Amino acid sequence: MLPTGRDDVALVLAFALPFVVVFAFMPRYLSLLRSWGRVAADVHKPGQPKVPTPVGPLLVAAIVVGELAIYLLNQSTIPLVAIEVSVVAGAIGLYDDLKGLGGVVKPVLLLLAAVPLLLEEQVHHSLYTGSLAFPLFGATGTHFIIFAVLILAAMPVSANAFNMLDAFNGEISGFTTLVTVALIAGIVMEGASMTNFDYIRLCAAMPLAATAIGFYYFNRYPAKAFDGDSGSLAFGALYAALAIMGGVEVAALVALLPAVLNSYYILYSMRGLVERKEMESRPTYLGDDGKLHANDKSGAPTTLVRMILLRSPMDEKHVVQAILTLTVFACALSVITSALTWLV
Amino acid sequence: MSAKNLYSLMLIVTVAWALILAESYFFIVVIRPLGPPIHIGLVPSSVLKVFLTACLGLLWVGVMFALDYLYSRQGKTPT
Repeated sequence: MLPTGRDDVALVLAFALPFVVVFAFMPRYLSLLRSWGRVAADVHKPGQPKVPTPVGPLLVAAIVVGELAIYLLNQSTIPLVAIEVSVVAGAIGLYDDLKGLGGVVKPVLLLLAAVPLLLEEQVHHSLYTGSLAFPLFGATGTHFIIFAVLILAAMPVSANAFNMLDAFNGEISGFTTLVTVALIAGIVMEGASMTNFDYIRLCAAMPLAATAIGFYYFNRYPAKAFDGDSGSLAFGALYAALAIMGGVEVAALVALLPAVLNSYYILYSMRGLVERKEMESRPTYLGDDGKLHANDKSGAPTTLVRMILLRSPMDEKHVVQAILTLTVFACALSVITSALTWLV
Repeated sequence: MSAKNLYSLMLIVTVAWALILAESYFFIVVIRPLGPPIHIGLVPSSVLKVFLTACLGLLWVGVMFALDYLYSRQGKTPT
């Protein structure tokens, strides 16, 4: 089914509006954060410059504006659910930024981000299919209870995976941009294979991509803004929700593999959920040469960055380049997965 | 940036992806047809389905940790 003119307008606005919001309001918002004393030390640079944080609320606002534009044009519940998920996860993240949440409490609270999806599905029965489409071998049967459990698990897993990867300049913004592009590619391929595809599922992914691209400009090395947990948790939860509503869960998981592996290695090495500030030693340290080194102490958590630095120290810019290169590779596998699922 | 470091990590990601494909084949072809359907079935077929699916998850996690061990051991400089 070809998109209508209204779908095209929604697609353009869904991308343009969040992008404009980030660029138009970020400088003033950063000044505001500085005036409130809301700054954090950029610990991976000599001299540890202070960077305004958290800009997550502005990022969530940009997403809300984009999704609201889609809703006003099409009256679909999909953008409303996207708004609800990002606001709930963003609010949990903001509380963590301001007051602090424990390593166990945060993922438990993030289960709440799944509630809008589950409730709306009970009312409208059109948000998701209730089955997983696997590449080559077809889809599972429809099991709403099992699928609901998977949705509940997906929110904290995805949001925490994004959160755990938010450690270096440009890492979270670049990562979110890349995986969302792969997600959009998957939804496009799914749409190409269907006769009754709902274009709103594609439109709903645009605000996340636009916000992440806009934020990358301010978050790239050397960073002028940090998103805080309010940004990374909102990005992660919304990514999971879009994958579920778009019906591209497996491809979305493949794109997320670097973040998933990073989380697994941290959980395994720390023997459970531990907040960054609760870790006895950091995975990396800044050497006198201005480069990042892998921490050799036995209690240091294993992270993807520490694995990259095991053989040779690197400066922050190149570490992030390495992570994003690995993400591009995972996204290519994700696109292949989507092609095997929808086009073969 | 050492390309060798990244190639090893790309290999880990590729193995993780290949395992997802292989396990999805096993899930769709072997586990899913185990009858009767899970929502009307009593023990043992439904329990067996859940157990086998959990085994697939554990296999994936186990392989990832094994690869991490090999990568870390390879990365340590002998003294």
